[in-house]
Amino acid sequence: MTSGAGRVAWAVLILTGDTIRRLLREGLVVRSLVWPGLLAAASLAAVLGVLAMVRSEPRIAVAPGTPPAVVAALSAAGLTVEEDPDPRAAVVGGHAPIGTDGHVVWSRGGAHTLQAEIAVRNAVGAPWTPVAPILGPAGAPPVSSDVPKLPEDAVGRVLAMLFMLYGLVFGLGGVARDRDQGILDAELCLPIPRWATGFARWLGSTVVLTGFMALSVLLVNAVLPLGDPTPALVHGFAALATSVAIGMAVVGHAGLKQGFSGPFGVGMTLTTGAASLGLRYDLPWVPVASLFSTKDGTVAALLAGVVGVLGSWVYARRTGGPP
Amino acid sequence: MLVVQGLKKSFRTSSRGVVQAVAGISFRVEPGEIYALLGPNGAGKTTTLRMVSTLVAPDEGTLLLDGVDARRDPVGARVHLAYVPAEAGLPDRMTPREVVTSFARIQGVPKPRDTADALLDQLGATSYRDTPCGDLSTGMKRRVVLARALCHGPKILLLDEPTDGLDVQGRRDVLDFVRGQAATGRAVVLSSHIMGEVEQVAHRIGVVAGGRLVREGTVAELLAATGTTRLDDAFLALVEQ
Repeated sequence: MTSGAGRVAWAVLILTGDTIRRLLREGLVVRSLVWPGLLAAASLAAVLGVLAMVRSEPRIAVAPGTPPAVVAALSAAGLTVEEDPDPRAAVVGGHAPIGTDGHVVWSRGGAHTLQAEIAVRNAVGAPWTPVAPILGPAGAPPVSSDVPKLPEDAVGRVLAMLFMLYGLVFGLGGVARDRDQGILDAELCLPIPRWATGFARWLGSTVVLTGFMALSVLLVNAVLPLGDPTPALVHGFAALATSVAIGMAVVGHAGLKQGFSGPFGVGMTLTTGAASLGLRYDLPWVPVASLFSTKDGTVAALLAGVVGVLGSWVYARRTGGPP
Repeated sequence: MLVVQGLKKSFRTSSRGVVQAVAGISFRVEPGEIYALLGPNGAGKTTTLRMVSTLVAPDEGTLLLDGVDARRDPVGARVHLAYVPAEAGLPDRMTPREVVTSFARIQGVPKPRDTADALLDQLGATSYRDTPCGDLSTGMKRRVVLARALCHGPKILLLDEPTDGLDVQGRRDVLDFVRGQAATGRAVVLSSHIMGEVEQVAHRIGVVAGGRLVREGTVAELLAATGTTRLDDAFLALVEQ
């Protein structure tokens, strides 16, 4: 390893290995698995909770004198009719989700209330009745909106966004901490170009974070039906690799006198701003902004590599001293 | 050999505008010589050492490390130097053995692991070479940092406040080590504001104040120049000039 390029490549390899080793020993494994675990559990609990709240049985309590036409209409609507001497009391007491005496419908809410109301109104010849489905007559186009539709695997994308923020913290925090502890000085005194030390940091952080993002997305995918996880992984890789580079660049650009908070604020503004832009406009080729794009993210992933090199260059230019 | 000629550095600050940290320092250090930069806090010692170590780019001046122009070829100059900063500068979750071996590998040292073990042994760090650096005391860390700095056999050794935070035994060990390094032919530059230890180890002293080298020479020469009998009196006389 005596040639210049070979020596630099060898140094990048070793420094990347050191970065990976340090990140793994800092407990990233546990933390990155806790998040998706919590997310999956919370999502499941939320879904089950909502289902329990909106769920209603197709059952209706009917007063003894209810006209047979109403009872027939309710049965025809798919409701199980149960005779009850006081349907109102049955609904209030929670014994039945819906009740009627042929004129009034009592309900605790739920999806079958509308069916019961329509059946009763039709049976008694009411001047108007609701029409289901309520969003419009059959065959009508869906309600229009100019907000782009979220991809089916939005949960996976949100998870990737978490790792994007991790990337910013790791890229920025790693440099800031090593600078404060004097580790950076020793590293920058090595006989290799400075961009190489920055590139090794970027590469190591990106490799580790990508591995755990993939693990997390696949884990959540196994619990919740997200669809094909590949787009979330590709766009997620582009976002986190870019955020690591942004973190390193902003902390390097801030110079020695700045702490963590100022550069972190700048980095957060840049990354979340780009992600928000991508939510409003479909930008499939811009890393970070492509996070919620429904299109292919290969270009964004390739550009993320370019951003990584640029971030290493800015880091090297601004950390102080000659290259 | 280290040659420093007319080195200048200024920084832009938000509160004080442009501050001249180093205003034209010159000195040279021969192989086997220990040269101490002595000065009060903020005199420019650390900035000078950081420029010599290529961590900070000088605004002006010449910097030759074993004949290599460090301003023109900083990467080539770094091959010849080792810089030991005042801070411990070790990753908490790596062991001394891993740290030194990794640096030796990057420097292209043959048998890096054996070299690391030998250096740690030489510095009395064998018993904790596999303990995470985060669990080590200040003195232990200092030994590891020295081993890391020396793993590639540099010709110039730069030490910034090398005994800072050490107890009496630790100070003595480090000073003995510095003497030993000079005896092997290395040019050693150290910065300090502790008169006693400078007097013990330095062959020549450069007194720095206000970013300038106000005087240099042996202890005897500094005493004679100021008409004093103690180094701290000589130092104060030179700094107050």
